[in-house]
Amino acid sequence: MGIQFGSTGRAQRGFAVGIDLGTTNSLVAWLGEDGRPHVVDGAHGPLVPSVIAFDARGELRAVGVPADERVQLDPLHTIYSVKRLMGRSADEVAGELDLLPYVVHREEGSAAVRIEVGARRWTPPELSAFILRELKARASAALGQDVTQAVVTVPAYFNDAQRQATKDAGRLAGLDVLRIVNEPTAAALAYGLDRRPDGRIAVYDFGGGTFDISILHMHEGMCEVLATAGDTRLGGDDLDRAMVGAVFAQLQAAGIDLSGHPEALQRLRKAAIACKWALSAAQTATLRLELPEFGRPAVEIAWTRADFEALIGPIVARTLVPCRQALKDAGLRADQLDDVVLVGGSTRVPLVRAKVAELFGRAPHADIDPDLVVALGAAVQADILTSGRRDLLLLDVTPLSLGIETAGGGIAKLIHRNSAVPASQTEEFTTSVDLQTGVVVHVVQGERELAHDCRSLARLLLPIAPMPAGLPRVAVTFLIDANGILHVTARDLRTGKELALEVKPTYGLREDEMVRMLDDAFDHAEDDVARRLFADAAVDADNVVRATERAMQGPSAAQLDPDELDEIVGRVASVKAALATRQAEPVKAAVAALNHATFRLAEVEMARALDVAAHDQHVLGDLAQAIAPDPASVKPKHDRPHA
Amino acid sequence: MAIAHDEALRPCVVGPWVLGGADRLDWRVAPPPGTQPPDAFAVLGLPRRLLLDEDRVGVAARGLMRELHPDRFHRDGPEAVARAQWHSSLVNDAVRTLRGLERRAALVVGFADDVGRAHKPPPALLERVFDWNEQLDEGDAASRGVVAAEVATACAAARLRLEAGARQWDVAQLLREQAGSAAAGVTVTDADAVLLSVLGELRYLDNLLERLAGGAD
Repeated sequence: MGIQFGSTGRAQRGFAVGIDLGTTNSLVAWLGEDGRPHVVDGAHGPLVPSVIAFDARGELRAVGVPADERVQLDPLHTIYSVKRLMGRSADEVAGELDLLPYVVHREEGSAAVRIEVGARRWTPPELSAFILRELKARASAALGQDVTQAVVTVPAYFNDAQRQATKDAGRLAGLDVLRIVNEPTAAALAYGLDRRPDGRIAVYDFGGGTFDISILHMHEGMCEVLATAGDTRLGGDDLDRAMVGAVFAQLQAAGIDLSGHPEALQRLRKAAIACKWALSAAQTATLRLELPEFGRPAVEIAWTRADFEALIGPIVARTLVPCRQALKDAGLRADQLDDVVLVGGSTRVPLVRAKVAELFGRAPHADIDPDLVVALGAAVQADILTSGRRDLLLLDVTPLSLGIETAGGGIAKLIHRNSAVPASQTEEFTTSVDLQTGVVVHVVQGERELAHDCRSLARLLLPIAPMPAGLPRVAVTFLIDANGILHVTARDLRTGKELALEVKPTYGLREDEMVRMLDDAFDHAEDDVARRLFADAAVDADNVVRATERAMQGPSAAQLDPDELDEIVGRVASVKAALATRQAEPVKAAVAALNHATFRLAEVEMARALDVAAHDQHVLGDLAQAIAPDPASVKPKHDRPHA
Repeated sequence: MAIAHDEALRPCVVGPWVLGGADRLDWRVAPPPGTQPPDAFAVLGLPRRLLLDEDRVGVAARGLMRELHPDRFHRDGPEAVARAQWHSSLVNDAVRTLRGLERRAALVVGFADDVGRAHKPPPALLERVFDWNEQLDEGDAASRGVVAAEVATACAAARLRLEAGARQWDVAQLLREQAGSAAAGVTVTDADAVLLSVLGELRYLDNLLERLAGGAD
């Protein structure tokens, strides 16, 4: 499909999509000709699990749903929750690593982290780029054109380094990131487009890994953020972790120790998530966990919603602290708000809704899908930037104060938190020693009083011509742009000349690393296509081989001739050999041959399955006659995933 | 990396700080390099009045942001966006500067700079502040309540004097404007002196209020 000039509004230069790059799920949306944002659907719906699967050698296997299916099979090589590591240091994430089965390293000579997969070490932006590439491919396929520009959302409370890491990820994925938009603000934009409200609203955004609260003033198409607050380490993950911890302890008490069994722990995590979802709809649910490692039948644990709420109560309570802070910073009381909007899958938990209603004194607004609303808003923002429409405008704030370290380790705040962005501030510097040739300025972000308690962003080296102390005058201008990203420029006030600043970012990628990674990506662009095709074929091959081997060990195999069995064994071996070539075509051919060889086996399996089903049907029929239907026992349907 | 590298913003000093009709800045004209940015009243196109209706600040800023926000210039290329970043940061800064009478007063008398900081409040107040701090250091709840009440009264009195000074200053400013010598403002008027002294007092009282609020948490 080519670009259709003129026939559609979007097939023009400068078209951009909106991307919600989430901790748990990611998705892409675009603004249709009808002026409304739409999500791009895939085979499994619009949500792409933010999971990247590699093989044991560190080669990419799959992204999204097929990768998510490998989490329990191969936890060491299947990477999820990368967003928690974006733009953060090894020290900062140390406390969370027990949550992640894969190997996280501290990089020598840098505070940044690397994720080890097989022989390779990846930075968090590189891993996020895999997800963005998947979304880019999906959008390009759906829209029939190469999508190269995007607006990407981040939690409002993300600091400068985390925003920059997100931008880097876009660049590595071949996307021009036009804007970084705060998730709650994007949600407000989608909500505003829908209802055109004039008034003050709160957006409560409880996602998979982060929590944000934003207070906005909606006024004639302007979404003006008054204050924002949050916690970048608080999310649905923590609810899962609490449940996993409780069950882990319970099993340990019963003599089943899951530590040292990463596969079992991942199964437990999945089971806990399923149980959490069930408890959002029903008062009771059963957590079922298979334990083949321990040679015993599945364990079933009954949960009531009250048990779950007692467990997660303290976590939900932690979200209320930033809410009060944001109201205070906005200079508003809860009763002065006109609406409260819920965003993020974790807001489906009834206790969360109840606590939000209690704090704000009103039932929150929940009729926009909390999983989709952020991407929809990002698509609207992409349209504002590229179409030149003037009826909507986002005015956002910086979530954290920006300061510089003063002598003695204190902080001089230059730009206070909740300042509207773009925001700028100019500071003058001079020297304290005769003939000093440089001044180092340590830039930090955060609310604490001492520099070492705040987030170090960078060290700037100002070059100074040697002069007596106190004589040089250098003005450094700090500008936080509309993305919430810091720009620094310096000028010698004596000569009026602009100074070249040397910037040493504390975390994240240096420009030279970035260039190398981009070169890498460019050199391997063709490779990447081939690798992608191979990866898809390999997933397919894996499934077929596994199914065949399972069937060969079952009773169906006995009904085949020895010749047929030999043929199948041979074909399985050739699939495995083809996988070793790392080429898509031989794998596909070998899989086709195996499929052909197992035709009879599949028939026998199918017949057996039908027999079993018929038997079950029979038993079920008897049961149905024996008991009266009880609506409360009907299994709740869960087609909407949580964050 | 922490500092943006892919769209390095040049430090374009904005302005030309030529006031057009109705005291409005002409944002389209490029400024001569090295010029000082205009003050917050000029940025927002508001009259220099201390007793300003604060709603006008928001209205003026929103109107300017509709025109100047970087999102409006995305299709015009990176240079236009960069200039818009600086322009709109000036507007945002002006809003912060003009919110609250204390901040407006500090702006017109230059209290924020070194001259203003050097301004000492009367010795009688310094003595009282010293006593209050001492009583707080001892830290029993009863004397804390007494101090809180006394500081609140002193603050209320200072703010009333600030308002009176502001009214006086606005009248003086109006007269200066009518006399057509708005730029002259070199001599420190009586109103300026009143504002400087009250701002000096409030700086100490605000510190005390902060201390009292911090201890209460």
